[in-house]
Amino acid sequence: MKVPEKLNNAVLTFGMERRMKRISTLILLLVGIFVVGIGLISGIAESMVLGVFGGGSDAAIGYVLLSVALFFVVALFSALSAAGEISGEKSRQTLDLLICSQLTPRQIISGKLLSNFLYAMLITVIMFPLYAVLYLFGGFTPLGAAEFIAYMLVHVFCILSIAIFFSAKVKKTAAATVLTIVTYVGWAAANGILALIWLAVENYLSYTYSVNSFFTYPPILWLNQATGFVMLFAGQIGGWSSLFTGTLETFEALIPLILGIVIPVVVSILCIRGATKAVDPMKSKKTSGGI
Amino acid sequence: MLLSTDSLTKYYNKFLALSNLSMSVDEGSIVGFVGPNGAGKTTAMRIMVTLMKASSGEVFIDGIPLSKDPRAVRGRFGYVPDFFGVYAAITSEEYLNFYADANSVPKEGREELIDGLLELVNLSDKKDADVNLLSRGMKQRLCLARSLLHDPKLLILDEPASGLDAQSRLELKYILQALKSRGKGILISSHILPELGEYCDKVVILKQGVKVAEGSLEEISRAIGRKAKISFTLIDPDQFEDAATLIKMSGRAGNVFKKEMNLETEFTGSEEDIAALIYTLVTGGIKISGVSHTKETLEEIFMEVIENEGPGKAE
Repeated sequence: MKVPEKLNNAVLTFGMERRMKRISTLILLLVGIFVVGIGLISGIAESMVLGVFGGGSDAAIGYVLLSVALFFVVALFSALSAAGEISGEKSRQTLDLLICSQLTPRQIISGKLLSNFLYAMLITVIMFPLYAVLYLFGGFTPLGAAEFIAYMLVHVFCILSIAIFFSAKVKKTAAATVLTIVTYVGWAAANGILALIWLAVENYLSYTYSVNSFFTYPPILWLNQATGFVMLFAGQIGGWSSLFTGTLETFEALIPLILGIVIPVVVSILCIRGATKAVDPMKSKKTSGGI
Repeated sequence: MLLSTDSLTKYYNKFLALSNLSMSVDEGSIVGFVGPNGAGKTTAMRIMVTLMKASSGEVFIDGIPLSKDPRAVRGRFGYVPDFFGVYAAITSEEYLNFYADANSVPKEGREELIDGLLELVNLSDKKDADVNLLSRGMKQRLCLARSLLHDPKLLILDEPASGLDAQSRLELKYILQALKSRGKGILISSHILPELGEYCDKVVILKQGVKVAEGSLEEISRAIGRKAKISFTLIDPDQFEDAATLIKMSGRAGNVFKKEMNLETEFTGSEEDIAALIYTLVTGGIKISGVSHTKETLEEIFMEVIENEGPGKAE
């Protein structure tokens, strides 16, 4: 996989080379292929027994959910690896030598982030031929596949950016890892709680004032990767509109775009900027007190 | 001047770690940077290599002000920190290749460059060795080779001899002298003063964040009023009084002491003055079988400067 020259730097190259040599990469690939393969075989077996093709079969739904779960394994694994990037350099006492080199703080952070991102994407892409079987079982369209990829890319990048941010801010890898997991879980939990509150308010308004909701589902669910993926797949299988298939004239069609794509991108940018500032001693606020 | 600082000051909250440090390092010279623990040496060095921001003052490296363009400055020095780590499961060659990439060293000719540097630091036979398995001294030399990849004019070395055995320290000394002869300017801090004094052209002494002395050993020695000792070995014991009189008449000697067949005295003159005194004694009929000139060591000068009450400047 050749990285464009502008994005390539020593940290990115070094990180990718070391990742590819690790035995954990092979193990992760084998586990992923095994799990997805199990789902594929189950689906084929069920279809052969029931003679059912097309959307809605239990195997298709199970296969879809399995794929979503697998994505989260890859994303979480990559995020945990990313959480140790900068803090690991601090622990190893190698960060100072990087800062003193010709690499800018931005290149150090982008190199670390991209090496983790490309690694996660490489793992996912290798398993993609298996995902392609979704066309057979789930009625998944090419546009639907593109939506899935876009949503996944953005959210993986966001998770990794958060991990790199914490890694740059704290001294110990353990602390960065805990903060990343807490944020990841907390984001999902807070999102779920807000969605429940939304539903409660909607029900109250509907019951008390006969006001019907403008939205089919709480739009805040697009901020959560788990529910976002389920809605993407469900929308494809059930024929609902999702990220890009709704018309842009309707406000509701814009919600998934803003919440599912734009906000994670903004969060990623803020995290990257924060991480860059944290590793730049010349911009650090931890300097003088003075008289 | 390759490196100069102008009133460099650093506060950690309200604690003054470095106060108005002004010093310089020229091409083709080795400057020793010494002081007790906590004197501010590492703080000063970390500011010079852009790892820390000064509270006030400026650092100029090759004429470039550090605060204005840190990135441009980073290509002009090589830095060996007091504590550093290495990556796991890579060879010395891979280690150097990574930092060569990080320092934008062109790929063309890089293999020869790495081979040359490994030869300079006597690690040619460790090219394919796992860096984690190298000894402390070898890692130190490898780090020195790393700092030279982009051919910087200036080297800043923070206690490179720390934790090294005598042989490794000797090898380090030869490497530094070789680099000096190539025109590199070297700023080196160390607590091993006797060895540092042997090859430094100049020393800067810090005490509690303040520079208390800067100059060659002779200059500092004169500034603080310390005198070198000269000892003359006489053949004829009856000539002691005459010899003592002639020595005192030179105007640069202190009290003269007799010690067995030797006359010892403190002497503040230059080496030309010593030669003139020897000539005077010989032409005065004094039979001399030996002369020894004991210069002040860096250790003695350092102790004298540091133990002075208050941070008085000795330059």
